[in-house]
Amino acid sequence: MPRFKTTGEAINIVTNREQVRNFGIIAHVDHGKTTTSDSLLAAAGMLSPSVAGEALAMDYMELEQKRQMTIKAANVTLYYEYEGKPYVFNMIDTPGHIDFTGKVTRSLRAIDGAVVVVDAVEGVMTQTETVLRQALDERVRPVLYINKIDRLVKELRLTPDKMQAWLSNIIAEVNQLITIYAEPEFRDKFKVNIADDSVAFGSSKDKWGFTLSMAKRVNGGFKDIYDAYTGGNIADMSSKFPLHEAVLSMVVKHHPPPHVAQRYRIPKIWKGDQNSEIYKAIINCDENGPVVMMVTTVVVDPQAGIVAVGRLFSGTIRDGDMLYLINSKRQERVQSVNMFMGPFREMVGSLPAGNIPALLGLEHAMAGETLSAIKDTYPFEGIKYVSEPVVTIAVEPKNPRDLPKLVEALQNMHIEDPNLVVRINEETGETLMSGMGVLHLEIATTMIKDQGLDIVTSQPLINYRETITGAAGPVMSKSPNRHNKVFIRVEPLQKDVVDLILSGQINDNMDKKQIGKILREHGWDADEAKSVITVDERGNLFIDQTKGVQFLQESIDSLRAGFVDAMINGPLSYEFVRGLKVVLHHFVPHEDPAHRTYAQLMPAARRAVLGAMLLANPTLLEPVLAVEVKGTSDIIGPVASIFSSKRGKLIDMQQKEIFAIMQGEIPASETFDLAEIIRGATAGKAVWNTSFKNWSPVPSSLLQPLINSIRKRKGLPEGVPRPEEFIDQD
Amino acid sequence: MADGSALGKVDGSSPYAVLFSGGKDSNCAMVRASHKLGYPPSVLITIRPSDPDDLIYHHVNTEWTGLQAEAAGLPHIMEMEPDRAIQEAIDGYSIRTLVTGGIASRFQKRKFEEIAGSYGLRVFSPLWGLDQEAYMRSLVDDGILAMVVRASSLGLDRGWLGLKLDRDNIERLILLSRRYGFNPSLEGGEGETFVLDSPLYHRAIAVDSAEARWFGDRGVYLIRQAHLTDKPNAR
Repeated sequence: MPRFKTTGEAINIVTNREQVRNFGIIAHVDHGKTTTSDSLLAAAGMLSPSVAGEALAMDYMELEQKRQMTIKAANVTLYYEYEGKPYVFNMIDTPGHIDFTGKVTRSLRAIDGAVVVVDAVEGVMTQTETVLRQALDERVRPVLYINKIDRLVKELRLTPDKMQAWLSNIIAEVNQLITIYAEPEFRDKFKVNIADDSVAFGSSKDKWGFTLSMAKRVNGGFKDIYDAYTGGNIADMSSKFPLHEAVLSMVVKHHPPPHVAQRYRIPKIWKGDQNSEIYKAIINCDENGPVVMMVTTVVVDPQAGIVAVGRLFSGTIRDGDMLYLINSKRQERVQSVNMFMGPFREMVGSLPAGNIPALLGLEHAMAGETLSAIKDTYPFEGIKYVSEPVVTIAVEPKNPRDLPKLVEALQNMHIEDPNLVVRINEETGETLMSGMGVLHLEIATTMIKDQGLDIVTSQPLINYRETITGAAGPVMSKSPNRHNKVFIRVEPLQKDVVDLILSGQINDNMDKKQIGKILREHGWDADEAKSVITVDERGNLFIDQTKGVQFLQESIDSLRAGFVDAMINGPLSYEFVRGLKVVLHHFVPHEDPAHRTYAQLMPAARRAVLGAMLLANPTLLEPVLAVEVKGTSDIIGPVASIFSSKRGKLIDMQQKEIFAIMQGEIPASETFDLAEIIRGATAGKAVWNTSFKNWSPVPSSLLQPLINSIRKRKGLPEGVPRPEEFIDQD
Repeated sequence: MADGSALGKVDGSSPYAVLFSGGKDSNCAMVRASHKLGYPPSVLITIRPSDPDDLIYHHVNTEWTGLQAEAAGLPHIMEMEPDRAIQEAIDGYSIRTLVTGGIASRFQKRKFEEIAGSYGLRVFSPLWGLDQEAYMRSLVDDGILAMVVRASSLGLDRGWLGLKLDRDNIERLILLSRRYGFNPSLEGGEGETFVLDSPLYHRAIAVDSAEARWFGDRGVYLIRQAHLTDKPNAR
């Protein structure tokens, strides 16, 4: 078995970057990402001698189970010899669920190629499109693997000829997406086709797959498939057409090695100065250049502690290196450089550019962090990916003594999945866990329970956002001592700018000139664009439009604090505020510093913002989830009526032979019992999933009762305050 | 030191007035000036501003300064116009010096000096430049009992209204001032106090009824009924 390698042999291969490929598998939910990766690992997982003994004695997958490991490893290395030459593949985990979108984009940055897995019956689906679009955005080269071909025979009863026609449609659909989303210079290069082996067909469940070359070699093809599933020998298929050969030969042939990929990908994915030494080093994948690495995943290992995994774009990383963590502005020492051998980590002492090191000892590494030997390296990703969790539950250990363990488990989960936000309610002492949907929190709850912790969870609570639908002001508020006046006006912030903030493309750590430049590109006039006081990560901007006001510079921090406080606790119900442009219109401070302390100016700014908001038609936004339900056609009626009973919308329905796929949206607040209701209405025949879609205004008929109930739950005085309570008259 | 030298020029018989808001600072200034000079002021002057948000003069409970003057056994002038009040004090009591309770507000100091200067009066501010935390802690030692009658700063909630500044409350106030960044002496308009007892009062003030009003970020404590009472430690 050639895939058993000593660490030394493995290093020999990976230091020759021609023989390295970094790829990921992207797929819509249920299209077979997990089965495909499992099958590749079982057949081609690179093994080191330390596990080889055990692995020889039993099936590899059994070993996995025995060790209680899930195949959710951040990276798995595969080994495969193509045309007599050995190759090492880093198969990097790319989460498929859109609920965790932040993670998808991040891991796409580490890979140069993607295997797009599509279900043969369902074809291209929403998440296929979303993730493929993101991949093309990052100049990640796709190849196509059409999975579950057996369904075409077993369920749709297609003949070999019809099968071919059916599959051509899917290929055409994928190429159409590539035409739409790829940049012109990559459009043709990135298209997939059967003739050049950039398309494979197979069944991951039955462990077989082939490309055109493989089929030709044995003079086989669709006829073999048809025969195998109409009474023939299925096991034969996997020896004739091993799945890993189909997939990995596509990867070798069509995915570029790291140094080739970086030449055209870096200009797109790294926004720093193109005249710098760093740029030269990373575009050339220079192993003698400075160390520059992007962390894509952080895993908390019970023994090793924090393990930071990512793509090394330049330099050679060694045990003991001191590296800057660019976003968190620290310097830390790499205790040990590891590489993956299959799903296991092995110490290797050093690794050159183009590889996927796993680093131990970086206590403050978070996913998305840029590591560099050079202090002020421009980061691969902004300071933070802003997650906007939409549902919250309280988590409590059954045994109070387990609380420290629970808190630790939750903190580790947050490090691994920053979309899972944990905080302690300071007033009630409750431990609150927030996530991107009920499903997301259910998974997290199960993970905690799997660690042997007995916990009780509360009913989920929806997180809302406050926003305005009109403009108001300038309004004036005085400081508590009545000696200072702050004039504020507010208006809705344009959507594309909100998106820039939430995606971290403009953030408070950026140079104000740079923010101004981006805002001008989005249609702002120069004067306003250069006057940003602060970027609020919840999706709001604070702008200075005062003219020649005294003492502004020394007062600005206090005014900013008042603005931020209003963005955290909105006037309607103390929810976060989103989508506001808040303008400091004028400022009349007291001339004596003793009269314009923080304690005076902060509340004045806060009140002025709240007062202006209340005059600008404030409303609440609720999270809306995209819901997809799949099943046989008889579910259509019952599911359609579920959508309408849940304040939802059925947006699209496709029927493929006897199958129906329904896409719609339902407000998150209506989804708590969705599982039971769908199960009940479809006799358990439907498969469904949800993902966060957008923030949408709460219907006006529900607004007032909702505000009242949130205020009541939070112990706030009854009734929304009147604007006059915050606004003063001259 | 400018104020110290001004004091040096006050001869033993030169009458002075205290600019008297009824709060802790003017009362403390009155106590310290009396100690320093060895004799009490000739008259107390209270300016009652028409604008409740006046930048210089207190407004809350100024109608009760008359009771304080009575407690101290001193004549009292109360006017809306500072000029009129000072002219009255010069005409009626031949004052040469005006004592104020300013500590840190340069703005207030300048305003007082301007108006006093226009009448040829000297200004003496015995509290000027004191460390604010140390000053607050010395109030109890000086025998001044003050009550909070206006709270107007981040960090001061309605619970402060009507609260008496004993040692515990003063420590609490100092802690809050550090946390929220305001002047612990409330010099920047963060609050006002009303003095119930002072070494210069022959009788103390007892508040019979009062009303607390809160406006979201600030509030006042309005005395409705009060009377003079024998001091608890009266000999």
